[in-house]
Amino acid sequence: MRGHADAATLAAFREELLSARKAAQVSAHLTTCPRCAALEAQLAEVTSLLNHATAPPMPDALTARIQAALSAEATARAVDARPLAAAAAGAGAATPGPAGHNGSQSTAGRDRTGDRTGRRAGWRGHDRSWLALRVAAVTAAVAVIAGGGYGVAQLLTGSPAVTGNASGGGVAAPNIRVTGPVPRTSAGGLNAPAASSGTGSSARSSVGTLAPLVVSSGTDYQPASLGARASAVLARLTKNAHSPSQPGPNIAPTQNQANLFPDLQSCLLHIAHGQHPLLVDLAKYQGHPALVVVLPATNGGQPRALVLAPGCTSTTAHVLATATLPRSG
Amino acid sequence: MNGDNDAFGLLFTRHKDRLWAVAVRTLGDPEEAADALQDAMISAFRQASGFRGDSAVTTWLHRIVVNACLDRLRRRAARPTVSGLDERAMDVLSPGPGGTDAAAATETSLDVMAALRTLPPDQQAVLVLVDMLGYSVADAAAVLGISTGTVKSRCARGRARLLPRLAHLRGRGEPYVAGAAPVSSAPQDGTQLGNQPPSRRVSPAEGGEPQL
Repeated sequence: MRGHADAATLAAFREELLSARKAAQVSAHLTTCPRCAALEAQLAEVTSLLNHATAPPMPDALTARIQAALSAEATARAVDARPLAAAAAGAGAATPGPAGHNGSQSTAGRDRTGDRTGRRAGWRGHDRSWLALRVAAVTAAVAVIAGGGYGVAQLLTGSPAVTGNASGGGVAAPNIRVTGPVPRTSAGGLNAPAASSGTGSSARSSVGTLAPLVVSSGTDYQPASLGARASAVLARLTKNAHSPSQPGPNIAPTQNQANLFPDLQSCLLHIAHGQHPLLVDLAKYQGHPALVVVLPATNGGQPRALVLAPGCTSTTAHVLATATLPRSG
Repeated sequence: MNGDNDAFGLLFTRHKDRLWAVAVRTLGDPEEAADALQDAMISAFRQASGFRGDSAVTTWLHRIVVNACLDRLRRRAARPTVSGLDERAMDVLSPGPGGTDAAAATETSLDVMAALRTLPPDQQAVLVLVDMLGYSVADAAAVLGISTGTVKSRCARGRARLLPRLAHLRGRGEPYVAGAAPVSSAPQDGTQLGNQPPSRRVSPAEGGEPQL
């Protein structure tokens, strides 16, 4: 070939994009021309430089934000579907408008609850306020972490272990953990409000209303009866909470059970998405240790039970099963 | 319905680090990458009825993310902006612990990212997938919905255009060594099949999964 090869030609040659004839010419030329051989080596180095360019891991806060958005989207979808089902059940007597109308309603609903969930105007600012608001709605014990991170809260109270990891200007993820031993008494400890983190009957007064129950009911939940069993446990505990007698000591989680969920607070904050769990049961599922969480009903539905595998954290929750609690009465 | 929701959540959990790597490298800006990823996930969730946890879903999920990023890149290209990297991009590439070596690597990464931003979006996209993240040409083609020939062509043109813009970094890029670990802070999620030197790109996927 005449003259030297340019970078574009050599780059095409390296990707085997040239015709056989042209490629043979370039190949032969490279063996005799140090200048073009150097250029070809530099092209290889471009790929190497790109390959070594660094980027950060995905922030935990973003994971939580997207999971919250997906949850909101799922909720919106369920809400959207409900009126349609009701209309169908009503023999179409009150079908509101043309078929397309429901579609636009659905879109509006999703936009309202899905797209905007966690949407930033600046992710450090907007998200922080969003998450803080969500959390504030479900717990009285709020510890907002200042700085570049997120507002986080103790979903379960009684442990002072709320720590912030919020380096200035960063996108630090919330870092909240139960660090102390889990109290074995149900009156104080995990179920107690922050203001009375010791023992006291004031904690019990909120059982079933604000503070979620963290118990170990001893139940071995099964797939077919998950909703019914969760409903029964919840009913039993609620009844006990409103009776003069204390819930039996057997429902307090043991340390070993709690150790299976060292990030219980973060986990609940993550999976509840701002909802306040009605029940948190360190129990078993099909014979294996698991966490059963009952989330309250939304939009006239029934409470929902989720079964989580051990190791649930603020970013990772392995949902083993879900079920809707049966309607009582 | 609930089962689908949970399955999609698992799908996201499984691939989020890879998807994030694609988004943040394609867009350079972590905030914009976060928005693009969220948009993509919501979009995917809405389309996901009846999806199955097979390899096609993996490619599909990556495609949605890449397209969300490309949309943003094109919109960005259509409006006049200051070239180069802003402070947020500096945050993305901020050095971790490691002293001067890490700082030098960061500086190089900044230069590389800045140079990449000067390319047309289509060329950026293929170079992010193939050269930065180590996707095979076939996988990149599947994700982008283009032919392998087009991937190769865009790679070649992109590299040729980058060459003079990276001339000052010559010697900082390490030559390929088969089996060498990339100097990268990208997530190591155990199932990672990209982000490898191209020399290792052809490693067989586990469980029949594609190289995604």
